[in-house]
Amino acid sequence: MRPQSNLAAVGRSHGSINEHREDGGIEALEAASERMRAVRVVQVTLAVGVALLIGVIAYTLSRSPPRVLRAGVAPNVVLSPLAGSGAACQIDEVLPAHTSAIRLSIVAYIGARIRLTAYSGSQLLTGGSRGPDWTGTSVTVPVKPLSRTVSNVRLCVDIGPNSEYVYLFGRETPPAEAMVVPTGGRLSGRLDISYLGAGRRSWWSRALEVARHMGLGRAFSGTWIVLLIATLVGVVGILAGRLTLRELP
Amino acid sequence: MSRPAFAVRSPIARARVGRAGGTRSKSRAAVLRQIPTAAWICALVALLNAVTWSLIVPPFEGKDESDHFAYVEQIVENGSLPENGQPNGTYSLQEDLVLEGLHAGAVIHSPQGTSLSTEAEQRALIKDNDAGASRRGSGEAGIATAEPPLYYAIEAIPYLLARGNILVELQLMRLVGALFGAITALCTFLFLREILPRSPWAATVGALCVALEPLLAFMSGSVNPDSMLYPVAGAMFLCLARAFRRSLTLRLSVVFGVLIAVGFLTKVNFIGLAFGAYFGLAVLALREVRATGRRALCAPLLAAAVGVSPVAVYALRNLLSSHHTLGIVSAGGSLLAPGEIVNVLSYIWQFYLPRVPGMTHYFQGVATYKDIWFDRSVGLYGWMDTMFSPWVDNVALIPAAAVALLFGRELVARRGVLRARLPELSAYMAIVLGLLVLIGASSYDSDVLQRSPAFGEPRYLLPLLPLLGGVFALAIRAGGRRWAPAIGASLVVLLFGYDIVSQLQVIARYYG
Repeated sequence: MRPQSNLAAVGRSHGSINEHREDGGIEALEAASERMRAVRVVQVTLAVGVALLIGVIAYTLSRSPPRVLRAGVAPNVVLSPLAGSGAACQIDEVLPAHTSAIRLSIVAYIGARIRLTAYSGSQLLTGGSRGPDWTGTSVTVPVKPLSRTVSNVRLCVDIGPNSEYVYLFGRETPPAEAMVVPTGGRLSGRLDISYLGAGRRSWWSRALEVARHMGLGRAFSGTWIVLLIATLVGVVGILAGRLTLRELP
Repeated sequence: MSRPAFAVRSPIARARVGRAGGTRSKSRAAVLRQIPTAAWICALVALLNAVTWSLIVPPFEGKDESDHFAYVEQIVENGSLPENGQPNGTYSLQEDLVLEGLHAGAVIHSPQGTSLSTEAEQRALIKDNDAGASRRGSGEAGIATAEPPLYYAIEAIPYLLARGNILVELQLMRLVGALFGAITALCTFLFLREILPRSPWAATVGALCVALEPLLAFMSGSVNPDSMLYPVAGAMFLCLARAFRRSLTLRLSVVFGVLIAVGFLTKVNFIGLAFGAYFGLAVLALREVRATGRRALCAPLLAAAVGVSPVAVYALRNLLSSHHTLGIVSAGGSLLAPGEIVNVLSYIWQFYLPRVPGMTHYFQGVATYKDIWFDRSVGLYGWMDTMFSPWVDNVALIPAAAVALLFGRELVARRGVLRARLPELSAYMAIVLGLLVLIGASSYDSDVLQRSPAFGEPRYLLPLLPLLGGVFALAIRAGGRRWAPAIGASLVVLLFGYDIVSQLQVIARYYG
């Protein structure tokens, strides 16, 4: 009996080891399968993401950068520092056809809401607004384009509310040509206003020009800088993708 | 963890390795060898990214770059710090010539002004660059004048290597910044592996996202002491994490103290981070004293003393030379006056958060958290003159909200663990709070008291990048086994795409 029971015990023991081995094998298989699934998911996500990115960039480059349809006066003086809300109108402006945005030389570190309205006599031609999410020496306000050029336009700018100072930049003029404030008073000159519209050439068609441009303004000039930049961007992308895959558990 | 996930050993283990190896250099080499390859790749990604940005951004179009360059020039050419007290100092004639050749006056702050566009302008620039005019300015460095000298002393090395050619000097100096960017990513990686040892992949991807962050690359790719503050802060976070999770050994405390000292010598803004660092030391000291008695105070006290030593030397020097004891910081004392402190606190609150009824309105018409901090975090390059269109900022809210939701979900799910790590988390939060308060108070001083611009630039918050990496890592972990790979890979592509689109925006602005 004893040998039998011993055998049985050995058999049970072997069975237990085999079960453990099977369990371990199944776990290992499951882990491997889990890793394969994760790798596949990461690969697909990266591939889809990169394809989307290429699509977005290609679409963006097929668009035209805005061009200046009509430039304003070169600003050389602060017309008015504004603390709090303010408004002023500029007469005798020419609003070119297809103007999609108007750039104003208004300086602020923390911008303020800007509302623009363009009138011909008392008729409202177009208008637009921009939130306070800007900073710097100019603010570009999108407006609804017109199909024809209109002269003798009165362009009104409404700024605020704001707590920071906002400075209008322009050029001094005789009082009759200067900006008018709602109280009837006049500022010291005219605001620098540029009218922007869609460009005629896409970024794609300007790519070589931009590349040549990028090669200037350095100690070592040349378009090769663009190739170096493109290579660096490519290497960064490959390293990032490979690291994401390599480190999967 | 099958891979050597986080293999940098404790300081004690490192010390043993050092003794066994026989030499200190062998010990250092051993420590470097134990850093996982993934960490080096993250650092390499950040380095190459910053180098790319250094090539894209035209010379002196990095924020305040001409001032920071003038500081280095002052150190090398005059052998002194820029502190002659003239508020309207001028650059050296040679720097002025190069800035003129670059048409910097028409480009800086003017989005409609592009960089050089003709061969004739390039020839004129090279002529200006080779003019050999005086390299001595009036002894000032604009807004950089008040900054401590360590970063500029380091930047003197590339300056000397290319001495005589400003454009090459500047490019080499930018590459040093790129190295700082790499160290920031490395420290972020090690910090995340330390705090999330069971999620090595999420930690890796979190660090990778930081390495791909375009604002970090822009700042690291230009000459600015901020670029050195980021790795110092990253290393500080790493030291705190190790101290809280293992123990504050004597060696770690020396390292931590030296980091604090380096921070003080790098940029005035470090004062905000130092508050959190000292708070962390206090918490650690309390914990160690409870565990092992007063003897354990030795390490935190050592760290605190080493850290504060440059401030003490600076104060002593100022006292002896009849200057304000703490230099520019002394002026901040007026903000703590009883009548002023309430206003300062109200301003700081509104600088980041929606105004509470009853508070004085400091930012009328502006939702500071969105219009300043979020929108400018999405993109603010050059001399604050290169931003995305408002619709891009609004679209960016979607992935930002998704990451925030996932992060929040993970925090709620792991609230038990968070509770257990409250002392450690409080140290990190003290660093965040210290920095936010410092920026807010400085902004109050400039904006309200001096009627100058407020300080709403997200680059000031980049020392907190390791924590942002943690947010990414936890957001990935929230996806669980099923979704984590997709979330992580999506974040990598998103950040990479964001980086490229930012580069294109800058290219369009300067060369379009």
